Amino acid sequence: MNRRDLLKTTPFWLGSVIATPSIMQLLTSCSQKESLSWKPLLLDNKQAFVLENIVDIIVPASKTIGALDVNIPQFIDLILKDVFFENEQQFFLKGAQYFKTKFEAMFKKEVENGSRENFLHLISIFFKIPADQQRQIFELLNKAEDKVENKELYCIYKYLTFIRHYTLFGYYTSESVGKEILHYDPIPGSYLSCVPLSDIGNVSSI
Amino acid sequence: MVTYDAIVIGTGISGGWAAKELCEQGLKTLVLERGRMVNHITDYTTANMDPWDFKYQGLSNASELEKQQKQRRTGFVTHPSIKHWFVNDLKHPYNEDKRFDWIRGYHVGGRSITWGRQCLRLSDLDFEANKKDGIAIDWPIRYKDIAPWYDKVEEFIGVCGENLGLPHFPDGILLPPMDLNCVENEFKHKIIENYKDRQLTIGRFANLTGDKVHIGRSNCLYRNRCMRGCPFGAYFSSNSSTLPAAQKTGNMTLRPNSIVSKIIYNDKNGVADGVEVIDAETLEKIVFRAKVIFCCASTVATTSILLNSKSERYPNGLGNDSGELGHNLMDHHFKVGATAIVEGFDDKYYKGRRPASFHIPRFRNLSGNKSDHKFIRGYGFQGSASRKNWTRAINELSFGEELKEELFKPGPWKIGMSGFGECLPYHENKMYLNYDRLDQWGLPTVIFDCEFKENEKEMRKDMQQEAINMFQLAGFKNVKGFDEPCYPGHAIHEMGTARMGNDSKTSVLNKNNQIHGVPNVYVTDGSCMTSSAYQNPSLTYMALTARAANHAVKQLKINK
Repeated sequence: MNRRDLLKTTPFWLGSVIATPSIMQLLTSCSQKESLSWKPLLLDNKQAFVLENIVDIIVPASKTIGALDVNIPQFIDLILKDVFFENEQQFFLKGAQYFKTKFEAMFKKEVENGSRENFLHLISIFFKIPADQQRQIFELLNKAEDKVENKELYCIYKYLTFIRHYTLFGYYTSESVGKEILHYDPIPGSYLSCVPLSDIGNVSSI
Repeated sequence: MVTYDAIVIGTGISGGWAAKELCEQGLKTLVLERGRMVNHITDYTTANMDPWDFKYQGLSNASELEKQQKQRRTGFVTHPSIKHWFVNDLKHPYNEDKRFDWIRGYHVGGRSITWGRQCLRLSDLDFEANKKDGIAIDWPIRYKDIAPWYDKVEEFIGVCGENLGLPHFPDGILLPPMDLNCVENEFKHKIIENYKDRQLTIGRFANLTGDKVHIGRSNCLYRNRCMRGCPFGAYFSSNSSTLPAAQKTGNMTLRPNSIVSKIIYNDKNGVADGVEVIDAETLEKIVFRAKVIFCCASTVATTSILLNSKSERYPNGLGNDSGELGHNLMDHHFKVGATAIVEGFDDKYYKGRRPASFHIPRFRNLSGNKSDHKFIRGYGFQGSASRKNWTRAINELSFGEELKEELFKPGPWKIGMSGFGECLPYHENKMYLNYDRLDQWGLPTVIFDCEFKENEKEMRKDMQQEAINMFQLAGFKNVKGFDEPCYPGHAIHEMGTARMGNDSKTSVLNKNNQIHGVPNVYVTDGSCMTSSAYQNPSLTYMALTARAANHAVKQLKINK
């Protein structure tokens, strides 16, 4: 499939899923308005609230700690402000706006009233797609913005894959995960070139 | 004014050796460094930092990166753990007629702190190549001239590795080798099965292993954080090894923040009798005198100093009768090879982080006769196998608990290698000075005009294909070749701009690294190289420096 075909068909498959009414949407439409427990540096409170929800869906707490336990939303807000160049910030903010609009059109409510189920539903629409479509998405993301026809799709995926990337980065390079879950060996002292995996356990954190 | 026996310009891998050899043989030596002081151990500020100890967990922030736009071209030296070892490009600008990645640091120890530590000897295949091919000019030395100095250097710095008994890849005085991991061992044996003309070995690295004592240093602890500076002195650097040896003699005066603007040539007695220095902190201009001067400022910096050292006798730069000063600029070309996934070792792992890669020594055009290929000379491979970490999931859209738990485990084994290829000396590949754009000290800035040409491009095709073939024949999966854009300078092996030769009409230096016609000035950094060979060059710079320093001491005794 070439680029033009993708841009013609993608809004269709994406749009068709979004247009389907959701039972969850009805169940959750009157959930409580959430408040934020931290003060963002770059994002506004609504953007930070959405970020928290997405981050929590990507790396949730289970029998091990999740992304919220190591303050990944705060980390992403910080690096957006300090680490990235302005054009990258703008991509994020544009994507956040498109995502918000999508969300509100779909669930017929303000994004700050969204429930975890709402966010999970919408994230699943974007992330649970067949392998060949995933490949097309990554090809699309490699293009410059002015070479792309469907800016909405492009910006939303830029936004979501950015969050996903830096959620994983922040989580797996955090001190708690690095020292307590992964194999942490600051001064190995020797090199054992070939050992049973069971002797080491998890992947090395450094 | 204080007069010294010797002045050494630069404290990097060559300058450290000049300082050690000259001081140990009794010369009162002034060692000049343009950058800041770096004390061994205490100034390795990031040596023990884990990812979470950095403000952005190791990401580089945008405003910091703006200061190192050219250094950043490497893709790795601007990491917060090592960026302080590389210059601020805004403060230290240069110019490019063609793109050249000039990657360097201004501080005591220079790039000996951050070097790749691979120590490979050149052989007569290399020293004889220009003559046999009719390329450029002949080297004025052969392997037998440098071999004892390779011995001396290896013994002092400590090089671990394996001797293979190959004539074109000479054996060295080596410490016990580091081990290959399971997958690298598998690859080694597949190469033995599939090829008669090549073999795989662990690389030779200046990291300590075994029982031999190296004063003030201890064995490698497999942290693989060498580039940050090693608190254990487990790899060789000027700071851990040669400068302390020079210091111990009581003969060294080390002067940081001292930018050499020119070497002073005395037209009356036909020798250079001192250097002019700008103090980087006070901006004061100071002249230091000495009987002998060693230029070890690194290829481009040394050549800049020589080009800027104009006199009645040498209006085009000190020792530039040939017009070759600044020309024949070379670097290795790399970033071409292959990657693959290796199945069948999922229950195996390794413990410790080995700071060494495997090496496949050169196997092309070994006969020394006419090339069997579309290119002359050759290349070697450097690579490693490891298990993937969480980054394997970046180009996916998976999420949730299952993903999280999966990424706690080591991923599949991957293997990759890049060729390092010889670059021919081309007269038109050059650096020269721009007197219209001065730096903050009023000194001319450097302009580069250098490119890889047909021989390198043809060689790259073969490098990629051979990497793919070796992985495929080994039965590895998902074999992918790569040939990324590679500009001169990127390998950080720049060399050749004041080459050695037998004839002052075609070369700058003689067989002892003395400037033709100015015998008390020695140039022993990368600028002296007559051809690049394919090997990582630092070991050769050290051996040539030690050899030249001993020559200089003998000359001083004779001239007394």
